[in-house]
Amino acid sequence: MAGIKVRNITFKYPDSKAPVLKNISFNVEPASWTAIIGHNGSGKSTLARLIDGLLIPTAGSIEIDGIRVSEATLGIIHQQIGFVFQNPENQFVGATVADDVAFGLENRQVLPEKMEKKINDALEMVGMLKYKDVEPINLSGGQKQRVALAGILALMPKIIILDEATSMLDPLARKEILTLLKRLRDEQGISIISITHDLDEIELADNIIVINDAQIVKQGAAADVLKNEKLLTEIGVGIPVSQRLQLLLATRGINLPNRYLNLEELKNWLSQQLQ
Amino acid sequence: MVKSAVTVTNLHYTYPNTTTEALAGVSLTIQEQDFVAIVGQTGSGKSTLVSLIDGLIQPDSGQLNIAGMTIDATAKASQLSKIHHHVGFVFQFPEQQLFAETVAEDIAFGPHNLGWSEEKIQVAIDRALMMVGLPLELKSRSPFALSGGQMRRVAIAGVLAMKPSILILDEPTAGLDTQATNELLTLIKKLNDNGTTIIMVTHQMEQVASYANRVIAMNKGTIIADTTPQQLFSHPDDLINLSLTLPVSVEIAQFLNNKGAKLTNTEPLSLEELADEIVKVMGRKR
Amino acid sequence: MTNKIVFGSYVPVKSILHRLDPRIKLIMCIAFVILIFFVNSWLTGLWLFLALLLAIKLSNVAVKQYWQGIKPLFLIILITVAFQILFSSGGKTYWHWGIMAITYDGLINSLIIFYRFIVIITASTVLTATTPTFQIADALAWIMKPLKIIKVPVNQITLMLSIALRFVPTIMDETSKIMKAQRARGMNFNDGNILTRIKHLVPILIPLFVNSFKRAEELATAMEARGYDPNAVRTHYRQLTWHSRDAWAGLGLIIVVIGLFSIRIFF
Repeated sequence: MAGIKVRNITFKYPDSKAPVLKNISFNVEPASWTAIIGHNGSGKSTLARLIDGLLIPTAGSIEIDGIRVSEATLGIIHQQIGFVFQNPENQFVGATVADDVAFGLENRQVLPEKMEKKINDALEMVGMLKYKDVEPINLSGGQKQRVALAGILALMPKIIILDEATSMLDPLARKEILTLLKRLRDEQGISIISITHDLDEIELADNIIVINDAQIVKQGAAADVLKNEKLLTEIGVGIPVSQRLQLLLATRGINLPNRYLNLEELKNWLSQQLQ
Repeated sequence: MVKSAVTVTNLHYTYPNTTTEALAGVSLTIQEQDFVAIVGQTGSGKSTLVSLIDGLIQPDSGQLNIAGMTIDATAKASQLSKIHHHVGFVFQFPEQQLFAETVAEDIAFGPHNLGWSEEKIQVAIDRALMMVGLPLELKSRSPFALSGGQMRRVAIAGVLAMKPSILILDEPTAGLDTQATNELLTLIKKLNDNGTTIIMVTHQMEQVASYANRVIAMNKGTIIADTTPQQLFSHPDDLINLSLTLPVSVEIAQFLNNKGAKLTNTEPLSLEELADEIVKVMGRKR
Repeated sequence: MTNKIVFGSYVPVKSILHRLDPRIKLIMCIAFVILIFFVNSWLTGLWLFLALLLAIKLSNVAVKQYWQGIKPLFLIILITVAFQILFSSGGKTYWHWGIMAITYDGLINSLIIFYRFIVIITASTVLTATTPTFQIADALAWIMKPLKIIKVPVNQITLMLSIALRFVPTIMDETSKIMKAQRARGMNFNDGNILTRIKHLVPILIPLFVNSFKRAEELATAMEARGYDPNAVRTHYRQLTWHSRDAWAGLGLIIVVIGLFSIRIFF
């Protein structure tokens, strides 16, 4: 299990004046789910790439499980962190599902005789074992994202970063991927960081970091952030269904409990009231 | 009197070099100013159906009546291309089809192909940009220098500039955040209110619930339901069999009733309707 | 679902040829192409043709499917042959007009070219129809191995090749999607003279290039995130192993070679 410590990082592309990120600090606890949200172009994708060492900060430091991210530690960092990108098509390297899962193992110089089991186990975990020899052209977007996850799981990472990984999927495929990720977090203690503007995905988070104009404008427990309708609307994310329904009920004179309720909790509370 | 915009009679279509029929006998009528949602799994035939309606492919058999034209297996290519004067098609991720050096040139592409005069095209560009909520200053910019959301709007403007009376949209909000999604849907609704017939392919049942007056569900090349959203959602098991979801308001209502609540309307199409329904039942209890 | 046959695509059926090691298949295909240039008589031509027919039979892919694969190239072959007939000279002249003439040598030359074209294309189609592209890439990697001695980055080249092959269907899909979208915007591909038709390529090619560059960039980032380092040693999941059937295939090739040269010497 690994935690992340981000301290005062600033990032600026060499050819631009304004920094993409300014003085960002936060922690990610092991086995937790953190959502990073904000406008398009707020710098949230850049932040994800910095954590994975795909970009190196202009100032500040990032530590993964006590190891500082730098050019020298990239090998270890990439092994600890799995990254799922937005477009399912553009991260599928292999000629078949099995080949794609093998890609990361090949980079880690895993011996061929040890790969078969790792590949099978990883595909089993994401429910794609029977597609092992299928070529990418015959897979749906959701299936490709599962394979991407299998490719990561084969390397036993401690952290998975999702960069809008479900935004190109249909609702059912999205739901399935999110259920799978929840299971991975609970059963394997993998920390999840999701860069997203999907409200269902945001509601799964334990903690939320809101980025606007290159800075963190709010961070805290999901319950606190999701109650802040004004901020959520401002950054284009919108208000989660649970909060919208609670507001509608409140304006209709219903007394709701004074604490934050997510959709599951709200549904259960309502069902008790309506018995 | 309502006039029909599109009439489809027993259409069959099989893609070249394939064996299974992509459309196996589809008949339907779409009225002027309808807002039709087409739902179904990938491969259910919904993309094939809308491609046929836009004359992008020619039916193997059956007939299509659109804007006073009749298209069948014997129709000429020139006849098919005339359809584009009446029907606009916004593809999925339309920003991936931008190509011109400037925004204005890209938007002008469609009208230009339709043979419009230069003055008419200039007016159409400005009008289309305003409709999608982009400033006219962008006209001389390269479309590739814009943000993803702006590129999507430019691509949609390129279709709207052709002033289609029937507008087909394939998952127009895919990948957009909530705010951009709402803005785009508001625009589509406004077009519909002003007389444009809308045919929207979507997986988002909330959009079907809030915007469509009619929903067509497809499976394996045939239409299995052609009804109102309310009716469709009253058979949740059918939807689940088709790998489709329920809108969240309906899902909550049905969850509550399964737990023993007695909501009378089990298919509230919006959270507002759901809230009203809950308040009604709670009021009765007091 | 689909049974699309395009030139160079894999036909997923079961056959002896499908089970052979891709390396022996590649060697046989290359050897066969070389052998064609040793054809010097009707009989040697017939001999290789029979060998090819045997391979087709063993591939369990219908002749009709091969024909569909070759068909799109047939026009190019015919044009080449026609040029050869009309513009080569020598031997008896049967007809002439300006610089064009039909001569005995021209006819024979064009017949040879026709034969070579058909046999080479069919032989390579047998290879691609019975071998998935990634296996061909593996076989190429193996054949290029000796080049490592002269510092050719064989591993990088083969990874590049296999990724390129992997994206061929993706890009074909995308091309037809873009064409459809531009046609929906009133573009008519069949209109106008050559110049306008060339202009019609712009709205197709530009988005295709832009999207491909974006794809390449994203792919490179994804590969880096998955621990790819072009300069590091990698292991290989797919291991090719020789079987006795591959030895038999090699023996078959030797018989074809001996047969060809025997006919050349003794007839």
